[in-house]
This record gives sequence, structure tokens and C-alpha cells, in this order.
Amino acid sequence: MKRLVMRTLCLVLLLGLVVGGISAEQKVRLNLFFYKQEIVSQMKELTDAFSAKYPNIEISLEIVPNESMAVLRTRMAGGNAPDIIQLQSYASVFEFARAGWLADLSKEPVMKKVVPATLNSVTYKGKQYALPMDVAGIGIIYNKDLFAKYGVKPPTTFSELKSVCATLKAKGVTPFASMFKVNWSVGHFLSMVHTTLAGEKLLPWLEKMNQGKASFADPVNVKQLFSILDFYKANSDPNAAEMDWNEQQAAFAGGKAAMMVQGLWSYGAAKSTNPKLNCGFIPFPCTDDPKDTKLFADVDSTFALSATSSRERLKAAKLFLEWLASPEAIKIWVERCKLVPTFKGADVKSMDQPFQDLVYYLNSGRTNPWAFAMYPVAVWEDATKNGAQEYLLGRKTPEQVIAYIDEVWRREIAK
Amino acid sequence: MTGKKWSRVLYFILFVLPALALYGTFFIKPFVEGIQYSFTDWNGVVPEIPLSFERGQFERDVLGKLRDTHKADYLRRFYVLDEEGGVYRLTTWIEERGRERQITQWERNRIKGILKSVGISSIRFIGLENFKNIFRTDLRFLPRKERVYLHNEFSDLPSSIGTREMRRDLIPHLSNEERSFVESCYVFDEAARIYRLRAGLEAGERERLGRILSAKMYRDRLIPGVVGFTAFFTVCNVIFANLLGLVLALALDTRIRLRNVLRSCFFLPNVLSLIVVAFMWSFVFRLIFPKLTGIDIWLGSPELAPVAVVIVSVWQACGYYMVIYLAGLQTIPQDLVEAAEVDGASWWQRLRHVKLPLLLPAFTICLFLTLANSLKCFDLIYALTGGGPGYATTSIVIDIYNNAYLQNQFGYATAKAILLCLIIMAVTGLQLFLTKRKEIEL
Repeated sequence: MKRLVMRTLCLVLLLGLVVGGISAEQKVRLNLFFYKQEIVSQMKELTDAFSAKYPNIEISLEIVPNESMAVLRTRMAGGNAPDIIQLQSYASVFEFARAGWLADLSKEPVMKKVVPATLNSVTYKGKQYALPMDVAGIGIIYNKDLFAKYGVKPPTTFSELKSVCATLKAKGVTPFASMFKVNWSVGHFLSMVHTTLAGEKLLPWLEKMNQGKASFADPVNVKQLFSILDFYKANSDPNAAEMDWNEQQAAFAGGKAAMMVQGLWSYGAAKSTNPKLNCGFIPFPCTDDPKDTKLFADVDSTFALSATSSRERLKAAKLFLEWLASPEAIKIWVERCKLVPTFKGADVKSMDQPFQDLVYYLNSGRTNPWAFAMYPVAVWEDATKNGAQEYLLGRKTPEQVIAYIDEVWRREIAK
Repeated sequence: MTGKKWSRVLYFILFVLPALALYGTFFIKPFVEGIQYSFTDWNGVVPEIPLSFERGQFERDVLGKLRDTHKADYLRRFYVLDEEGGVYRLTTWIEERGRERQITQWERNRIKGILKSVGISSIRFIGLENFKNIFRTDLRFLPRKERVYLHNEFSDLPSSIGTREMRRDLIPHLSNEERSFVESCYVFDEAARIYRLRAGLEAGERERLGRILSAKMYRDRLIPGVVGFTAFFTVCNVIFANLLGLVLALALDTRIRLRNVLRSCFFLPNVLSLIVVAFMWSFVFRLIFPKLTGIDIWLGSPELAPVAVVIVSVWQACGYYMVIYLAGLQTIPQDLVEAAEVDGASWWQRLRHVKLPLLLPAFTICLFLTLANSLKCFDLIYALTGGGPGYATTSIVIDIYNNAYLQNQFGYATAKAILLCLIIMAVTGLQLFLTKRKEIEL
């Protein structure tokens, strides 16, 4: 009896192996690696819609939300690169392109369908190595109802912002819901203020920096830069050091705080906590000249293809990128993923007010590029994020933060 | 007789050889490779063999330099000119007998060898540079002094300043004029021994005072660095985990009721996944600890986060050491304890002179385990604080991880890992030597 059971089991397993092998033969299976944790189920919808149209291509999804770069590097080093890779714009794309891991997409027809200004973020040595997918902004997401209740207007200069905060504080509302426990948000803040204060000097400074001839302090007034960090801290919840993403969203969505300095991606989370939330989106003003107040917005995610995939899979992956520009895919991207697409003439009318605000700033050209994405990866991931956090927690002086950023930067370009 | 001999050979082939082979592939080989990497500047991203060459470079510097045509042909098999004809690309997928397959490790090594013979390699040998840099240029590895400012310009003025802050951190940094201004605003309260802010300051004065305080009130503080934190964590963890484990074992070795239930209870934290433990405790630190202690911020505070990490680690580990101590206690012959009791030894004397000396073997093991575990602690800290805030809870292993994966310095990180390995070997070796000697003395 036992022997019979074992034999049947073996047979079934063997059969499964054979059948599995045959079906694998007919289908092209692609691996899609992505890091955006707010669109996990939506990505499934997207790839399902693609597979419905191209039944012989199957895409399996792999989500690595935190430290995705670390995982990706080990996968690459192990010779096990995913076929389609979601990468952050600029430095991440450049890093892998420089090492030769990414397929050159310059000649693909789909690259003609994106807004030309976004191609900067994926162009390395004159060739394009990824498809820009969404534009995101970092700024102040504010609660319109609370602003109306206390009679304050969205600020356009730093002095106005100060008086808004003073009014809110006097009424017992925390001006900013902040998260100091995790370092990335404060890293964005430091880079955002630095970029705004640098203004026109940003790109020449970056070039000099990459030649090893400048310091992080050069394009800005250091005192002013860090005093804005002080201001941000003084107007945040006293417990901000204990707050991470969830607590920040809860404080803002629950109306305990009237503003949060965040990327627009967190609007969705706040909105799902409190569906009645009525928000607007404005740039963070750093000076008293309203002309300096520009939105910190740029290409956020891109899709790149691995140069080490087999020819057949590379072809299928290119087909997927091509399909992403179709109205069907853009509709899912806009309505379900709630991301602002980079394709020309994409229809974004169905999106909520904060997204409309973002599109308004984009169309009027009042934006600053995401400088942090152009820093060398280690400078951003380590020195900037941790430096900002350590400063806010009183662990480092401005000089030490800048010295560390400069040091890591030098080490990076020396490679 | 011959049968025995044969069975010995058979055992050797069946068990010892495979074990040695596994040990070689999974321990010795990576270890040796690690030592090799620690002398290089590999950044972790550059592939072992270049994935593409510019046409001119490939034909001139590679094919041109190769004397052996076999080798050149071998390379041509894998490096194929792409459609536009400007770039030679490595085809990692080759067609063989009508099927596509990925190139093997063996082929990769051969390509690497050939390229190396013409002087092309993506990884550079830099000797002891990595090891020197750990002590020379790493800004957060060793303890160092840093300046801390105590007042934020945009916060309200503090209603009072302690004597120590005033006399040590502020007054010595002021000019005479500023000093008399500050002393006119903050009045010394003899009874409470603090400086109180005078009421009725004008707006201009308040602003000036805020500027002075934010710029001049600072103190130089020793920041423990990665090594300092790891040392702190190790010392606390070794002391408290062992102490608590021993106390629990002694308590549960008596004939109290429900002792089996209690034993399981204390052991339970060790069964839980570390990630679950970390989530549980981050709730505890946020919601319960502030009410118990009156201190609001635990995991987010650079001063208290190390303490919090130790608390969780001890809570999690002590049950395990309790079990080892319990086993040790139960091997103590009951007649010895009873004889001491008959001789009139008190509870303390029995513990001090009979039980503890006989527990030394258990103590040796526990000390070894706690030392090694806390020196290489990663997962718990990573899940609880991620090494933050800032670098306040970055242990050596987390630092190695950051160097390798966030900063792209694989060679450097490997050098640190080798250093850590040596430290652990030295510390635990010394500990084993000392405690073993003590055991023999008894």
C-alpha cells in the first residue's frame, strides 16, 4: 500500500515536471523588479492587462520596497538580473548604465512618446537607458479645510510661511506633520532647501562638485540653509523624532497637523485614511522672493531593461515598454496607480486637486530639478539623509554635515 | 578485523568526505575569497568581466595584444559586434545545439583569465589601503568628539536654564557685552539653583537673545561611534542577559508552583521571530513606555535608542540562557547541596560556595554565546531602529552592510568584516582561555 502511494506520488511529480517544462517552453516569462510599495496591487493589474493582450508573455512581479538598490546589486553580481527593472531617475540609472548592465533604448520608438524634458533623467553619455515613467513633486501638502477654518492663505514666501505657522501654533494646530525617525524624508527636505537656495547656481555647482572642485556649502548660505531646518523642526510635533511614515500620515489625515512636507505619493495614503480630506499642493518657500518659490519636481521612477537578458526576452520586454504608452496602460497608470505619467498628451483630468496643482507647476515651468537624484548614490543614500537626520536630532553641526557630504562625494568621484 | 577496517573507510567516504567538501565550498572558499576582496577596491556594481567594449578598444587593446589565436577566437565567440557595429557586447546567452543557454561560471572564469592576461580587469588590487582607511578616514567608526548646539533659533526661548548649561556651555563662549546682556535677561534663582527668564522682554531683546543662545550655547560631546556603540551593546548585553538568565534559572529551580508554565513563558520570546519582536517593541516604546517613564521619545532619541535596543535584546535572549543555566543547575548533585545545608550553610553560602562554582561550565558557554552574538548583532537592531537615528545604534555589522550596499564599497566592507572576525575570535578566545583556566583551578 505504502509503496503504491509512493509510486503514484512520484509519477504525479514527474508528470508535473514534464507538463511544467512544456508550458514553460511556449511562454516567455519576464521578471519585473520594482520598488514602489504604494502600487503593489496596481502593478498586478497593469501586467495582467498586458498579458491579456499578449497571452504568450507572462510577467512575474517582484517587489522590494526598502533598500531595493542593495538587493538589485546582489542580483546583478550573482548574474541573475531581472528583465525589467524599476529604477529611480538619474543616479541609479547612471550607476547601472555605467557598469553596462542596462540595454540601450535610444532607438526605441516609445522614447519619442515621452515629454522630451524628462529624458535628461535617463540619458547617460548621450544614450537613453531607461523609460521615464512618472513625474512626482515634493512640497507642502496642506489641508485646505484647516487653512480656511483658521483664515490663513497658502504661503508664497518664507515670511508668509512663518506667519502661517505662528497662527496655526497659536490655535493649537501643529503646523507640520513630520517624520524624523526615518532618514529619507528629512534628506529630501535638506536637498530641497539646498536646491531652492542654490537656484540658478545648481547645475554649474553640480558639475564642479563632480570634478572635485567644490563643496556642498558653495552655492548656498549655510546659515540660512540650516536655519530653515531649525524652523522646520521648531514647527513640527515635539514627538517627531518618534514618528515614521504611518504616524505622519495619521497626524495629517486626522487633522492634528495642517501641513506635511512630503512627496505627492503620500497623498494617496493620507486620503485613504481619511477620504474626506481636502488638500492642495504648493512648493516650500525658502526665501522672501516669490519668484524663487519653485516646486521640487522631477521624474521619479523609470523602467530599464537588463542587457543580460536573452534576445527573446529582451524583445518581449521592449514590447511591454511600447505597450505602456498605449491609452489603456496610461489609464491604469493614472486612475489606479495615481501617478502623473510622462507621456505626451496623457489625460490627467480625472486626478485629484493636488495632482492638478503639480501639473500646473510643471506646465508653467516653475520647477526645480531633483538635485538629490543627481548626487552620487552613496552621497544621497548615506551622507545627505543621515546628515539631515543627525542635524535635526542635535547630533551634528552644519559644518560636520557638510564635511561628511563633501568627503563621501570626493570618494565617489575618485572611483 | 578487515570488516571493521572497511567500515571505517566507508564511513570516511560516506560522511567525512562530503562534510569536508561542504565545509570547503561553503566556509573556506568564501572566507579566502573574502580575504582576497578585502585587498581590492571592488565597488560591488562593476561586473567581473566587462559587458561591452568600444570597437576600437577591443580590437586594439584586446585582440591586438593576444598572441594566441585560440584565445582570440574564444573571446570572439562571446563578444559579438552589435547591429550598429560600434560596440562589442558580451552575449551572456549563447545558442548551442538549437537551444539558448546562459554562459557558465567556467566560461566566465576563462574569459576573465584571458582578459587579465592583456591587463584588463575590473577590480584593482590596492593592498592594505582598506584596512588603513578604517582607522584613518572613516568618520564614524571610532569614537570622536563632536559639537552639539543646545538651542534652536526658531523655538521659544527656554523659560529657564540650568546652572551647568549656563556656566559651562554658554558663559565661557560669550564676549563681555553679550555676557552682561544674557545675565540681565536670565536672573539667577538662588532657591531653585537655576537661571530664570525675566518677564517683560521686548521683541528686539528676545530676538537678540535667541540669536545668542542658538549660536553660542554648545558643548563638545564624545560620540561613541560604531565601535563605541558595539562595545556598549556587548557589555550591557553580556552582563544583563547572563544575570537575568541566572536569576530566572535560580528562581525556577525551586519547587514553586507553575514552574513549568513559567519556564515556557520566559523562553517564549526566544521562539518569536525577530521581526515580530521588533514590531511589538516599537509599539511598546511608543505607546506604553512614555506613560511608565514620563520620557516621550525612546527609539527616536540618539541618547536613549541604544538603551532601548539593549532592553529588547536582553528580554529576547535571557530565556535562552535561563535554559542553559537550568540544565547546569540540575546536574549539580543534590547530596552536595544537602550536605552543605546540614553543615549549617545559609542560602547565600550555598549559592556562593556550592552552586555557582559548579555552574562554571554553563557560565563558560553562556558567556561565549552572549559575547559572540552581541558582537555580530544585526537583525534585531536593523528591524528595530535600522541603525538610526543617525548612527546612534549602528553596530559594526550594520556599518559593514551600509558600506557594502548603501555606499558601494564592497572591498572596504569586506576588510571591515575580516577585522570584525578577528576581533570576535580574539575576544571569545581570550574569554574561553580565562574561564577554562578557572574551571580547571576548581
